[in-house]
Amino acid sequence: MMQFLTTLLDRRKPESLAHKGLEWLWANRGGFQITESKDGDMPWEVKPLVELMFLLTVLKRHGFRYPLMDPLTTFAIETANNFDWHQMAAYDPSAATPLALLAPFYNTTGRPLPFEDTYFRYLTRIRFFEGMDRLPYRQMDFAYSLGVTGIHDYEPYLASWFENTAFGRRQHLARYSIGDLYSLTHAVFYLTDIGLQPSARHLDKETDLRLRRELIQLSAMMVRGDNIDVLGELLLCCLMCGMELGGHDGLIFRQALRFLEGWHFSDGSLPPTRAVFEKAKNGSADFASLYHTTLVSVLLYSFLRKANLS
Amino acid sequence: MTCAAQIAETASCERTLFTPDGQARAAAHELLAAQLEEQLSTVLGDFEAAPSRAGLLELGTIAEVLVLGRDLPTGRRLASSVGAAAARWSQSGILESLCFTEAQLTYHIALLLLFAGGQPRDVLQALCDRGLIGRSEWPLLTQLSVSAMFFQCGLETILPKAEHADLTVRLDKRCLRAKSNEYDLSLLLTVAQLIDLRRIEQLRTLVPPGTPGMLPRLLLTQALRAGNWNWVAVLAFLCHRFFGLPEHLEHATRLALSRVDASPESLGLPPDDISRDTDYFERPVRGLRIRSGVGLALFIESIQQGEHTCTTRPF
Repeated sequence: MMQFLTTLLDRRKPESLAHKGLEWLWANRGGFQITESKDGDMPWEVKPLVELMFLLTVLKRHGFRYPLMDPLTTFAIETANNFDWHQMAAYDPSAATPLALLAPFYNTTGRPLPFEDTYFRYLTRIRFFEGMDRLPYRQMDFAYSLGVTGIHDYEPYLASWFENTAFGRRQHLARYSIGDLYSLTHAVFYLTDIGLQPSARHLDKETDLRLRRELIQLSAMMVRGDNIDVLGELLLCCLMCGMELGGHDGLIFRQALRFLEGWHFSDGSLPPTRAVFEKAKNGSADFASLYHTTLVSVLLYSFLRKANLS
Repeated sequence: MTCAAQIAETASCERTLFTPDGQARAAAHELLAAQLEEQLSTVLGDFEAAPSRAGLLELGTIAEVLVLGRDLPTGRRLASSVGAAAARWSQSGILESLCFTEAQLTYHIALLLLFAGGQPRDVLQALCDRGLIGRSEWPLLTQLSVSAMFFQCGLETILPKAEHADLTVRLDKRCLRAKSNEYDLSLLLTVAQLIDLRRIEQLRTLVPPGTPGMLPRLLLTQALRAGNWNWVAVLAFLCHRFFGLPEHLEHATRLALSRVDASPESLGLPPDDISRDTDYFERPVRGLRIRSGVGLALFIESIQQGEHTCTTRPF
């Protein structure tokens, strides 16, 4: 009986934490408004809104249902509809990724895009978006997002771009920078089609095994590091790859998860680092420093819930 | 004769690099080259006295232009100083240590190693073999450039997979952007380094096809109109040597430069509304001045050698 209750509680916990995260996102939705960027290459800060849309798209594509998804979706649509995406598209080729991420979000809602699709396709056709030197994983970002919108021109290059990432070049684990870690987690998002194809596409067996092994090893390393955001993404990747988390791997995964849970605040937010944690304790952490890790936590707990239920 | 004495002597005559009708002045060019040698020597001396990240970034800012003209007379002289110093730093392990400390510095280290020439590279090779250096993630074209420099230094490293992108598309589509920044110039330097690699048989197939022309010439025109001499110097050299400089634009550039004195200081800095650093490279002020002086000296020598790359390409 006790075992049954523990299992039941374990199963309900991820759902509850995901819901709490969404509550925080809803309560702080003002932070997703598009503002002027002070130090970025773009004069507009659209990243938080686009990342919220990415979260909502993944939740919908996986069939997750939470009461706050609809209000957040409506809010995201209203916010995006008040912005001139054409201006941003023409400003810099790096606009390709946010625009390409927007499209699948709108597809899942059945609402018309907030920009002229023909304009976006025109810029793609004249290859305007290729006008920069991107990191390999950002190229994957671009190719994957375009693929979801039905433009498949760049998908054949996913595998070769993956080979040019730090992981693809077999960098020693001890040398991974935070940027290299994000490269790996994002690459896994695309190769597994955000977990819908757990056996990562385009990978040979040896690379697939190495990927699974290194995801766990890097998670173990990040438990000792000061970056909950990356740790959350690594654990999410383990779930997206459908890893069998038994034995030694399971031990590390559960320990990492417990460690991450210990950082949660009761309002549903999850701070990324010790410094932000301390600020959040006295209420001085700002939206920008909290929102991303909270988005990650919602996804992570949703995938955990699904893994537990299956 | 010291540089100061040369300046004093030239003070009575014309000190601009070009005459009002656009002819290069040999004496002024010599003066510029002498000043560059002196200033570069100071930068090298500062790094030797106290090796640091900031010092390396400064050297890298100069080296990334110098490397493209190291076969030209002034380029040879300056490259020889950098090469001798870099060889010493490599032998004492300073470069290896910096490279291991921060992956972001790999590009600058690779440049210096290239100048140092054939040195024993046991430590670096061992670090490469174990995946401890040279494998972090860079933007694709930069990654190719860094790996190719390692390769030219005799280091066995993993060369990136060939990139599909056409260099002309990669660069010229940027003409449609609303604003330029240091990233544009940085990208041009990277692409010029890649075009330069086409001379090397083993690397030729890795370099994407295409030779951009529109963006370099647009940026040069923009810099001329804005009086941004810091960029004009570098862009004029890059266009003349790698991307093509039509005669009318070359003439306009010469005429515009006839107002500029033969010193790196007179080239100034890019305007404040142009960001100087990118996500990957920081460019200290002194390095920016000297790199532009180097670009200008190399531009003049490139003209004197009668080099004309693709000048028939339509503007």
